[in-house]
Amino acid sequence: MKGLRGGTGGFLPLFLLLPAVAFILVMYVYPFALSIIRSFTDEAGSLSLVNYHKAVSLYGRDILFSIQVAVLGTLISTGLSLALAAYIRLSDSRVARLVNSMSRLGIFLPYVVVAQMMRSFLAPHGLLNVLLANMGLVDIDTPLQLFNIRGLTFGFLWKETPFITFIVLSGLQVIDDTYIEAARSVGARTRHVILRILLPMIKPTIAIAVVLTFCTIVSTFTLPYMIVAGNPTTVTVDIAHRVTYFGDYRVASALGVFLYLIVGAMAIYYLRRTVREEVYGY
Amino acid sequence: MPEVKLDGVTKRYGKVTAVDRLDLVVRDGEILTLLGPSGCGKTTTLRCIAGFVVPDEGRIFLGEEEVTRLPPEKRDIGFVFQNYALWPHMTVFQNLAFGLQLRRTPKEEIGKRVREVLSLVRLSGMEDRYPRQLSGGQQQRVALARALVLRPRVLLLDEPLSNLDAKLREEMRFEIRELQRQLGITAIYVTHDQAEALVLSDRIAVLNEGRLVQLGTPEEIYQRPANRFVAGFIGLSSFVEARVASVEADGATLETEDGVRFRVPKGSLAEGQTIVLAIRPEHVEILAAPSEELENVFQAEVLRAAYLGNSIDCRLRLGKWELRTQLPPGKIPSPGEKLWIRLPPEKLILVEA
Repeated sequence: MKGLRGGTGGFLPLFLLLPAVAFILVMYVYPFALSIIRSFTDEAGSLSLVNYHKAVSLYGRDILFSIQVAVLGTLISTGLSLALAAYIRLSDSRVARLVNSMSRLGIFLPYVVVAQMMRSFLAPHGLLNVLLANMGLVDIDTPLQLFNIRGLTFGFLWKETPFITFIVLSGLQVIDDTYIEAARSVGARTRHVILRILLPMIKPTIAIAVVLTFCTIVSTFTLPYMIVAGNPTTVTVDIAHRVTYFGDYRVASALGVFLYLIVGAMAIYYLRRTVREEVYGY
Repeated sequence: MPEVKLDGVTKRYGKVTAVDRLDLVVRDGEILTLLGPSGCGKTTTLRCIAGFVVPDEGRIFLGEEEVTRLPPEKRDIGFVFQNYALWPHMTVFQNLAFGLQLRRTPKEEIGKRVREVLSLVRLSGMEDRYPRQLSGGQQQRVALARALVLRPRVLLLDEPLSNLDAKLREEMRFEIRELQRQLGITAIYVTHDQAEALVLSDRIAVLNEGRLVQLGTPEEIYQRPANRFVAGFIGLSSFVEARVASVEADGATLETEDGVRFRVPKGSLAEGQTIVLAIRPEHVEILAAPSEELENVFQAEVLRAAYLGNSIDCRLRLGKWELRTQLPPGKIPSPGEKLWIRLPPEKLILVEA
């Protein structure tokens, strides 16, 4: 016991931790630090803001586009997820059970598969346009153009809604039925039960789901790369483009720092929320 | 306040019948307790009345209005849950005000009524606290206040004291009784604790396996249990099976298979009938010496005795039967010791075998 507590065998715990710590240092901390240093370095190796200047002037619109897609995708998928999760929690019907099972399918599909599916589904002569044309809602000669923000947001919704639903539903299922029954006994209808009782009770869970989804959307490369044709596109595509076609790691790193800042703000919020939940229980 | 009437209410869960053709009338302004062991259907019955469960058969009335299929939010019923179910994200005030807000009660009126009812349950000044900042007893009072603030037609309480410690539970029994009397509200109380039922109730409905076994005042249920189940469930009883050996003008004689003979009031006994004697511990009298003038005097052997502070719990053997009695504090009898006991005929409870 003495050894484990840091007596004569005090190095053993450190030694056991070494592989994990080394992995984090090499795979995360080093590239992270390197990219930040690179973003502030010009071609001559001097400290400079030239990469940021270039990133903003060339890709400012894409940075805003990335935020726009992330906000839109997060808000809509959160809204849909809350409705779905509340429905599944409160209904005991077969339809609710079916929706529950089906809503989980999307979680297990990787983004590259979703992107490929979306390419054929959203294409000018893809399944969606053909279906709408058959219903008389779209002229197939002038189909809906969906390889843009609309298609991209749709793709994110398809992928992220099941994920948020899953997290939110997990939170809702922990709530004892008596809280719902207590609300109904004082006169609450379903909408009151959802909006005044259930959702406020799982606010921390919802916040965490929102943060994780936002960060996922901001940092996803595959879906925007395969869906969005031309400008504007997301920062992740720009980074790949900058490296692949120009070998320009410095501007790519500056773009990466913008992503760090966006995701970092959300991560700080997430961590503070988690700590508060652990310490104070709400 | 309306009376509550259950007419042939049945609820099944798969092959299990939780409530079986239950007929029951809860009178205006009384507190009726549904009492029974776990799984007897008492909570399911309460949930049917509240509207959380829809019965498969039968009808439920609140006064003249049939509410069998009416959703709970339209029944105007107050419900106090076993786990209190206070919404943790709301303060005490918000917990109480929620129902009033849904009814679009003016703000001033909400404030007034919340303060009134908090004072009734002795929680004035606790409005801004969250449930987690309250003790179990205080949470229980808030739950009661939340049900009462809406001035419901009927108050339903589902084992509301079971999460409290023994001392607080005892105090709260009287408080709930007092409040119910003060407000004159019709109340239905579910418990498996017979002491709670005896203290609280105007009448007790004893349930077993989904059926109503006996309905009566606490005294009736305790002193004249309808059958062996009730006699065993309410209070302590020792049971002796016997056959009616003879019926005379002034009483009857029962004889057990091992030859112990008891004199009992005649009642409607018939010769040859098999009957069960339920003997309460407090009805076993200890005699200093045998008496030939008294009936039902026996010599019994002490099996074991346990000191309980204010009494001694003593198990005796009479023939092949085991009797339980409570002796006043003093010398604890040793196993094997012989005691003279008397079982007064008028105190013996006869129930069907």
